[in-house]
Amino acid sequence: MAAARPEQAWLDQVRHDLVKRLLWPARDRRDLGGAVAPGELRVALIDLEGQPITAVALWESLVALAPRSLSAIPRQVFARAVTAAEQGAADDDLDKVLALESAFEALARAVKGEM
Amino acid sequence: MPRILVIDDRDQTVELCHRQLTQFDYLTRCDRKIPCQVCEERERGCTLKCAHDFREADEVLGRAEALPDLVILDLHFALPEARLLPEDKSELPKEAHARRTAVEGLRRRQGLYILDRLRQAWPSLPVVMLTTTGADLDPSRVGDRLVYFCENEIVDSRSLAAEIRRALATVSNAQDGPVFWGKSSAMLELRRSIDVLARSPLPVLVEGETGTGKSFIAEHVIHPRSGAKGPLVVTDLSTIPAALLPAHLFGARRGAYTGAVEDHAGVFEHAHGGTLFLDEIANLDLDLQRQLLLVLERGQVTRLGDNRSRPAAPKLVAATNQDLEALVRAGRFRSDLFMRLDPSTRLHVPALRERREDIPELLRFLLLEALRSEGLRPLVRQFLARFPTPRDFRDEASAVEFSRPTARAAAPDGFTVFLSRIALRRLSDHDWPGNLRELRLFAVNALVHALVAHLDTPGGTPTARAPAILDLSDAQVDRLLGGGAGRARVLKASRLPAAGDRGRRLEIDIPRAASFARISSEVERQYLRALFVATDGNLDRMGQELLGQKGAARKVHLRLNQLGLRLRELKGT
Repeated sequence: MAAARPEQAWLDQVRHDLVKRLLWPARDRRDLGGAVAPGELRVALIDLEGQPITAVALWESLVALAPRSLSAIPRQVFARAVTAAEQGAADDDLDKVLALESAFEALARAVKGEM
Repeated sequence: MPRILVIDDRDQTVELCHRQLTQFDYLTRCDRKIPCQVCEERERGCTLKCAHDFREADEVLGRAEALPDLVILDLHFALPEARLLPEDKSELPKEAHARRTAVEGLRRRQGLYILDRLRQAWPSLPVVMLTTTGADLDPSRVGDRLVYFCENEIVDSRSLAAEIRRALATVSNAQDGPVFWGKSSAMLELRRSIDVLARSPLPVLVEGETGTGKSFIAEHVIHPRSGAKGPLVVTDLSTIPAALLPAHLFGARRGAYTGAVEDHAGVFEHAHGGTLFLDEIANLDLDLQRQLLLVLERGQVTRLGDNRSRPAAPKLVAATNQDLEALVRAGRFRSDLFMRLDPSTRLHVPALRERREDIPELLRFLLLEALRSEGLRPLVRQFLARFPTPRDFRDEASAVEFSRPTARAAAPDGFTVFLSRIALRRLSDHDWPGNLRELRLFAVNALVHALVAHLDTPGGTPTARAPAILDLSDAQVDRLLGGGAGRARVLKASRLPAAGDRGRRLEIDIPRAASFARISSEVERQYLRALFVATDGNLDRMGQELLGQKGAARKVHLRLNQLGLRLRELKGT
């Protein structure tokens, strides 16, 4: 299998390390239906070395790893979505967390536009 | 209950498995017998739920009384450098940025390093590997039949649980007691049909070429699952002289014919309440077919020379390697008996060449079976007496590796049979006219040659213990296959002529099929397989050629999946 392009590899990393982990409990709850249990949406994110880290700090560390060709992507917009999702998880607000899905799709479109 | 060990840097997967895959038992580092979700330590932030790196996995596996049935292994491990494999990092760059990149590479592919180490220590341990799309996997691992790559590009846990469940079923169900079913769609279909027909009181007709294992299936699958309390009686009609067949089937009274010195029951009576397996039923002449039909309809039999009817109502399983429909058309088989055998529910046991994807694992199964058989025991004992293994020999520790022989990959307490991937490909491409029987003989023959070659090596008894390595060389495999005739098939596929105005031409083997759907799927399957080889596995090119459009790789991939053609299997052929 050929190695992925650096932009795609970076996007995969963002999805794997941040988006998937942040969204997982929220998507489970949405699919199952019913009310959100207190604390159910909170996740323990980890950095590259397995140490606890906040979603925003993790996003910043991922931005630092982004290929130079992606300097024009709307990083701040996604950063705001990450902050809102993290806050939503703390407040048991399902919709705020799920909004990260569409924000990530927009980010992916922007990255693919630069490829 | 099958036991699973999860190796993941986070506890999320093991918790998910506990919650959603309750049909399995889990091996955890705490050794408590209760599931994590009801354990009070969970709330206290227990860190012993799963193995978080290779060292912890090694510790759990080394301590466990018995190996788990399966391992679920993540690919990406977010761990500090010191906890990553390989332990020796002297080859990593010294410069800070380059080193950071290299270490990150180790994290992204850590699961593969762990897999290698698991393979060295426990060669036959099945592994379900959680990968992400685009992971640059080692080609040798893609072809490893004990590893199932489960796509982990799924955001919700239920989908991942479903994928893991499917993977576990695939890995764990290929073998069932003495029967190796494999994973081919043909065998899956047969297995499903048997599950239903075995429980029916009606006769079952089993069709298949010679050596496909029809009698084995009757004995080890249909009879045990029929629920019958009576015995299983097996009769091969091709081995009994025609003159003796009536008495053999229906019994005879004393003096009914010359040599009938006492009353005796036939196989129908013996099998009453149980299962009667009549192999080669096409060998019966028309008159005996008529008598057989009468017995089936009445559930009673009258011995030769007698006038008393006796109960004889076994479940009849009839097998043949001939085309009974053609025999009916030729007037050599009674159509009423054919209809009584209910051709709509007959079982078709596929030829080995119709389930080539099963050959590697089947060969592994047969080699290990042969190594443990009574027939090879004297040679095995002689070998171990002369070449003792480093640790006490255990039958169950023996393994088969599809690679070049290395001491590192050899089991310290069992035989390790090595067969190269080239040899494996030759075996997979061979046509196996004798089917399973021929493959079983090949396995025994190959082991006998390997054992004898060691025993006949001149020299005294070595004092040092060494791994018991049996290398089945490519040349030996060629010789046992009769000169490698099977290679023609690969060449044929790789020389699939380039597409011109009239399209490609390909010679296709069409099985004696049970339905039009099966014929068309088999044609499509063979065409796609050949096209895959001709385009060097480039799905884009395949899509362009098949559908005339660019970017159709995904559609091709989907179609391959629908036809049961897995990419990693295709890459291995």
